[in-house]
Amino acid sequence: MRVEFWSGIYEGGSFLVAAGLILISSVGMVLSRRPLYGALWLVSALLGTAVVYALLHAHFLAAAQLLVYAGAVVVLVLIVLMLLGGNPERYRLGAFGLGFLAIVFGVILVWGLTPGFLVPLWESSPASDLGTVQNLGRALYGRFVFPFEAASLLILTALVGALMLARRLK
Amino acid sequence: MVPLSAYLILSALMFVIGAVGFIFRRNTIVMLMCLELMLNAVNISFAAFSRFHGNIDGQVAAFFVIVAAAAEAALGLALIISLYRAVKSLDSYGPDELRP
Repeated sequence: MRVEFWSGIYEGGSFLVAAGLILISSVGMVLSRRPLYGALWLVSALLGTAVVYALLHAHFLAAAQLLVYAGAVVVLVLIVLMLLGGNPERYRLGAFGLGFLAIVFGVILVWGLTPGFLVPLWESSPASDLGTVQNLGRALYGRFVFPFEAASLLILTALVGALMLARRLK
Repeated sequence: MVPLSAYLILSALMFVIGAVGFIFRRNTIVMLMCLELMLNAVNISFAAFSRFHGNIDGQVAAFFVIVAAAAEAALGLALIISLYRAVKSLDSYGPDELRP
Protein backbone atom coordinates (compact mmCIF):
# COMPACT_ATOMS: atom_id res chain seq x y z
CA MET A 1 0.00 0.00 0.00
CA ARG A 2 2.83 2.34 0.87
CA VAL A 3 4.53 1.60 -2.43
CA GLU A 4 1.33 2.30 -4.33
CA PHE A 5 0.86 5.52 -2.41
CA TRP A 6 4.32 6.81 -3.21
CA SER A 7 4.15 5.74 -6.85
CA GLY A 8 0.84 7.57 -7.13
CA ILE A 9 2.41 10.71 -5.64
CA TYR A 10 5.31 10.34 -8.05
CA GLU A 11 3.03 9.90 -11.05
CA GLY A 12 0.84 12.85 -10.12
CA GLY A 13 3.84 15.06 -9.47
CA SER A 14 5.46 14.12 -12.76
CA PHE A 15 2.22 14.83 -14.57
CA LEU A 16 1.90 18.26 -12.95
CA VAL A 17 5.50 19.17 -13.78
CA ALA A 18 5.14 17.99 -17.39
CA ALA A 19 1.79 19.73 -17.84
CA GLY A 20 3.14 22.97 -16.40
CA LEU A 21 6.19 22.75 -18.67
CA ILE A 22 4.00 22.16 -21.72
CA LEU A 23 1.57 24.98 -20.99
CA ILE A 24 4.21 27.55 -20.06
CA SER A 25 6.30 26.67 -23.11
CA SER A 26 3.29 26.82 -25.43
CA VAL A 27 2.29 30.25 -24.18
CA GLY A 28 5.92 31.37 -24.45
CA MET A 29 6.08 30.09 -28.01
CA VAL A 30 2.96 31.97 -29.06
CA LEU A 31 4.02 35.18 -27.30
CA SER A 32 7.70 35.31 -28.25
CA ARG A 33 8.26 37.84 -30.99
CA ARG A 34 11.49 36.32 -32.25
CA PRO A 35 10.83 33.06 -34.16
CA LEU A 36 14.12 31.61 -32.89
CA TYR A 37 13.00 31.85 -29.27
CA GLY A 38 9.66 30.42 -30.34
CA ALA A 39 11.44 27.36 -31.74
CA LEU A 40 13.35 26.89 -28.48
CA TRP A 41 10.09 27.12 -26.51
CA LEU A 42 8.67 24.54 -28.90
CA VAL A 43 11.50 22.13 -28.02
CA SER A 44 10.65 22.34 -24.34
CA ALA A 45 6.92 21.83 -25.04
CA LEU A 46 7.78 18.73 -27.07
CA LEU A 47 9.99 17.38 -24.28
CA GLY A 48 7.07 17.79 -21.87
CA THR A 49 4.88 15.89 -24.31
CA ALA A 50 7.41 13.06 -24.35
CA VAL A 51 7.20 12.91 -20.54
CA VAL A 52 3.41 12.68 -20.77
CA TYR A 53 3.74 9.79 -23.24
CA ALA A 54 6.06 8.00 -20.83
CA LEU A 55 3.53 8.50 -18.02
CA LEU A 56 0.87 6.96 -20.25
CA HIS A 57 3.08 3.86 -20.76
CA ALA A 58 3.51 4.73 -24.43
CA HIS A 59 7.21 3.96 -24.42
CA PHE A 60 7.74 3.80 -28.16
CA LEU A 61 5.81 7.02 -28.74
CA ALA A 62 7.95 8.82 -26.16
CA ALA A 63 11.11 7.73 -27.97
CA ALA A 64 9.67 8.59 -31.38
CA GLN A 65 8.60 11.98 -30.07
CA LEU A 66 12.15 12.80 -29.04
CA LEU A 67 13.68 11.46 -32.26
CA VAL A 68 11.23 12.79 -34.81
CA TYR A 69 10.06 16.04 -33.27
CA ALA A 70 12.89 17.35 -31.13
CA GLY A 71 15.44 15.70 -33.38
CA ALA A 72 14.19 16.27 -36.91
CA VAL A 73 11.30 18.70 -37.15
CA VAL A 74 12.72 21.38 -34.86
CA VAL A 75 16.15 21.12 -36.48
CA LEU A 76 14.47 21.61 -39.86
CA VAL A 77 12.65 24.68 -38.53
CA LEU A 78 15.90 26.06 -37.10
CA ILE A 79 17.74 25.53 -40.39
CA VAL A 80 15.03 27.39 -42.30
CA LEU A 81 15.15 30.19 -39.72
CA MET A 82 18.91 30.35 -40.18
CA LEU A 83 18.51 30.55 -43.96
CA LEU A 84 15.77 33.13 -44.03
CA GLY A 85 16.76 35.17 -40.99
CA GLY A 86 14.09 35.13 -38.32
CA ASN A 87 13.39 38.82 -37.88
CA PRO A 88 11.05 39.79 -35.06
CA GLU A 89 7.57 40.64 -36.23
CA ARG A 90 7.06 44.30 -36.85
CA TYR A 91 3.51 44.56 -35.56
CA ARG A 92 2.74 44.83 -31.87
CA LEU A 93 0.13 42.89 -30.00
CA GLY A 94 -1.83 45.91 -28.84
CA ALA A 95 -2.99 45.92 -25.23
CA PHE A 96 -6.63 46.04 -26.24
CA GLY A 97 -6.37 44.85 -29.80
CA LEU A 98 -5.16 41.48 -30.98
CA GLY A 99 -4.11 40.29 -27.52
CA PHE A 100 -7.55 40.90 -26.05
CA LEU A 101 -9.18 39.17 -29.04
CA ALA A 102 -6.84 36.20 -28.63
CA ILE A 103 -7.69 35.80 -24.94
CA VAL A 104 -11.45 36.00 -25.59
CA PHE A 105 -11.20 33.50 -28.42
CA GLY A 106 -9.11 31.11 -26.35
CA VAL A 107 -11.42 31.23 -23.34
CA ILE A 108 -14.45 30.53 -25.53
CA LEU A 109 -12.67 27.61 -27.16
CA VAL A 110 -11.59 26.08 -23.83
CA TRP A 111 -15.09 26.58 -22.48
CA GLY A 112 -16.48 24.68 -25.44
CA LEU A 113 -13.92 21.89 -25.38
CA THR A 114 -13.60 20.88 -21.73
CA PRO A 115 -17.04 20.17 -20.15
CA GLY A 116 -17.20 16.68 -21.57
CA PHE A 117 -13.78 15.94 -20.08
CA LEU A 118 -14.60 17.02 -16.54
CA VAL A 119 -16.68 13.90 -15.92
CA PRO A 120 -14.45 11.35 -14.20
CA LEU A 121 -14.14 8.53 -16.68
CA TRP A 122 -12.22 5.29 -16.45
CA GLU A 123 -10.28 5.15 -13.21
CA SER A 124 -8.80 1.67 -13.49
CA SER A 125 -5.79 1.12 -15.69
CA PRO A 126 -5.30 -2.30 -17.25
CA ALA A 127 -2.25 -3.65 -19.05
CA SER A 128 0.74 -1.58 -18.00
CA ASP A 129 2.98 -3.00 -20.75
CA LEU A 130 0.65 -1.63 -23.38
CA GLY A 131 2.93 0.59 -25.42
CA THR A 132 5.98 -1.61 -25.68
CA VAL A 133 7.71 -1.93 -29.01
CA GLN A 134 6.48 -5.53 -29.33
CA ASN A 135 2.83 -4.61 -28.95
CA LEU A 136 2.99 -1.57 -31.18
CA GLY A 137 4.99 -3.45 -33.81
CA ARG A 138 2.53 -6.33 -33.77
CA ALA A 139 -0.33 -3.90 -34.38
CA LEU A 140 1.57 -1.93 -37.03
CA TYR A 141 2.65 -4.98 -39.03
CA GLY A 142 -0.60 -6.86 -38.41
CA ARG A 143 -3.87 -5.08 -38.85
CA PHE A 144 -2.31 -1.76 -39.85
CA VAL A 145 0.18 -3.00 -42.42
CA PHE A 146 -1.53 -1.27 -45.35
CA PRO A 147 -1.66 2.19 -43.68
CA PHE A 148 1.95 1.64 -42.65
CA GLU A 149 3.05 1.08 -46.24
CA ALA A 150 0.91 4.00 -47.35
CA ALA A 151 2.72 6.16 -44.79
CA SER A 152 6.06 5.22 -46.35
CA LEU A 153 4.69 6.30 -49.72
CA LEU A 154 3.51 9.56 -48.13
CA ILE A 155 6.98 10.28 -46.78
CA LEU A 156 8.57 9.53 -50.16
CA THR A 157 6.12 11.88 -51.87
CA ALA A 158 6.76 14.59 -49.31
CA LEU A 159 10.52 14.21 -49.78
CA VAL A 160 10.32 14.55 -53.56
CA GLY A 161 7.79 17.36 -53.26
CA ALA A 162 9.94 19.31 -50.82
CA LEU A 163 12.93 18.96 -53.14
CA MET A 164 10.86 20.18 -56.09
CA LEU A 165 9.42 23.12 -54.15
CA ALA A 166 12.66 24.33 -52.63
CA ARG A 167 14.58 24.06 -55.89
CA ARG A 168 15.48 27.36 -57.45
CA LEU A 169 13.41 27.69 -60.60
CA LYS A 170 15.34 28.75 -63.64
CA MET B 1 -3.33 7.76 -10.35
CA VAL B 2 -3.83 10.63 -12.77
CA PRO B 3 -7.39 10.53 -14.16
CA LEU B 4 -8.16 10.57 -17.85
CA SER B 5 -9.83 13.97 -17.61
CA ALA B 6 -6.53 15.56 -16.53
CA TYR B 7 -4.84 14.38 -19.71
CA LEU B 8 -7.77 15.53 -21.83
CA ILE B 9 -7.83 18.98 -20.24
CA LEU B 10 -4.09 19.31 -20.82
CA SER B 11 -4.64 18.30 -24.42
CA ALA B 12 -7.49 20.80 -24.87
CA LEU B 13 -5.48 23.67 -23.37
CA MET B 14 -2.48 22.85 -25.54
CA PHE B 15 -4.65 22.67 -28.64
CA VAL B 16 -6.31 26.00 -27.86
CA ILE B 17 -2.96 27.73 -27.33
CA GLY B 18 -1.81 26.37 -30.67
CA ALA B 19 -5.02 27.43 -32.42
CA VAL B 20 -4.90 30.94 -30.96
CA GLY B 21 -1.27 31.27 -31.99
CA PHE B 22 -2.03 30.02 -35.48
CA ILE B 23 -4.78 32.58 -35.94
CA PHE B 24 -3.14 35.60 -34.34
CA ARG B 25 0.50 35.29 -35.35
CA ARG B 26 1.64 36.48 -38.74
CA ASN B 27 5.06 34.88 -39.16
CA THR B 28 4.55 31.82 -41.34
CA ILE B 29 7.22 29.75 -39.56
CA VAL B 30 5.61 30.46 -36.19
CA MET B 31 2.27 29.45 -37.68
CA LEU B 32 3.82 26.15 -38.73
CA MET B 33 5.14 25.59 -35.20
CA CYS B 34 1.67 26.28 -33.80
CA LEU B 35 0.38 23.60 -36.16
CA GLU B 36 2.89 21.14 -34.69
CA LEU B 37 1.67 22.09 -31.22
CA MET B 38 -1.93 21.31 -32.15
CA LEU B 39 -0.95 17.93 -33.62
CA ASN B 40 0.89 17.10 -30.39
CA ALA B 41 -2.16 18.01 -28.33
CA VAL B 42 -4.27 15.58 -30.33
CA ASN B 43 -1.57 12.94 -29.90
CA ILE B 44 -1.77 13.26 -26.12
CA SER B 45 -5.51 12.58 -26.36
CA PHE B 46 -4.85 9.53 -28.52
CA ALA B 47 -2.26 8.12 -26.12
CA ALA B 48 -4.47 8.81 -23.08
CA PHE B 49 -7.50 7.05 -24.57
CA SER B 50 -5.28 4.18 -25.63
CA ARG B 51 -4.00 3.79 -22.08
CA PHE B 52 -7.36 4.04 -20.35
CA HIS B 53 -9.11 1.69 -22.78
CA GLY B 54 -6.23 -0.78 -22.71
CA ASN B 55 -6.24 -0.75 -26.51
CA ILE B 56 -3.15 -0.20 -28.68
CA ASP B 57 -5.02 1.39 -31.61
CA GLY B 58 -4.78 4.91 -30.19
CA GLN B 59 -1.01 4.68 -30.12
CA VAL B 60 -0.98 3.46 -33.72
CA ALA B 61 -3.05 6.51 -34.67
CA ALA B 62 -0.63 8.77 -32.77
CA PHE B 63 2.25 7.12 -34.63
CA PHE B 64 0.64 7.93 -37.97
CA VAL B 65 0.02 11.49 -36.82
CA ILE B 66 3.75 11.81 -36.07
CA VAL B 67 4.56 10.49 -39.56
CA ALA B 68 2.13 12.93 -41.18
CA ALA B 69 3.47 15.80 -39.07
CA ALA B 70 7.03 15.11 -40.19
CA ALA B 71 5.98 15.08 -43.85
CA GLU B 72 3.91 18.21 -43.31
CA ALA B 73 6.83 20.04 -41.69
CA ALA B 74 9.13 19.23 -44.61
CA LEU B 75 6.59 20.31 -47.21
CA GLY B 76 5.48 23.38 -45.27
CA LEU B 77 9.03 24.64 -44.84
CA ALA B 78 9.73 24.08 -48.52
CA LEU B 79 6.60 26.09 -49.33
CA ILE B 80 7.75 28.85 -46.98
CA ILE B 81 11.15 28.97 -48.66
CA SER B 82 9.65 29.29 -52.13
CA LEU B 83 7.16 31.87 -50.84
CA TYR B 84 10.03 33.85 -49.33
CA ARG B 85 11.81 33.79 -52.67
CA ALA B 86 8.71 35.23 -54.32
CA VAL B 87 7.80 38.00 -51.87
CA LYS B 88 10.97 38.43 -49.74
CA SER B 89 8.97 38.27 -46.53
CA LEU B 90 7.81 35.77 -43.93
CA ASP B 91 4.70 37.80 -43.13
CA SER B 92 1.52 35.91 -43.88
CA TYR B 93 -0.16 39.19 -44.80
CA GLY B 94 2.45 39.87 -47.47
CA PRO B 95 1.49 37.75 -50.48
CA ASP B 96 -1.79 39.09 -51.85
CA GLU B 97 -1.18 38.71 -55.58
CA LEU B 98 -4.22 36.47 -55.93
CA ARG B 99 -6.54 38.98 -54.31
CA PRO B 100 -9.14 40.20 -56.83
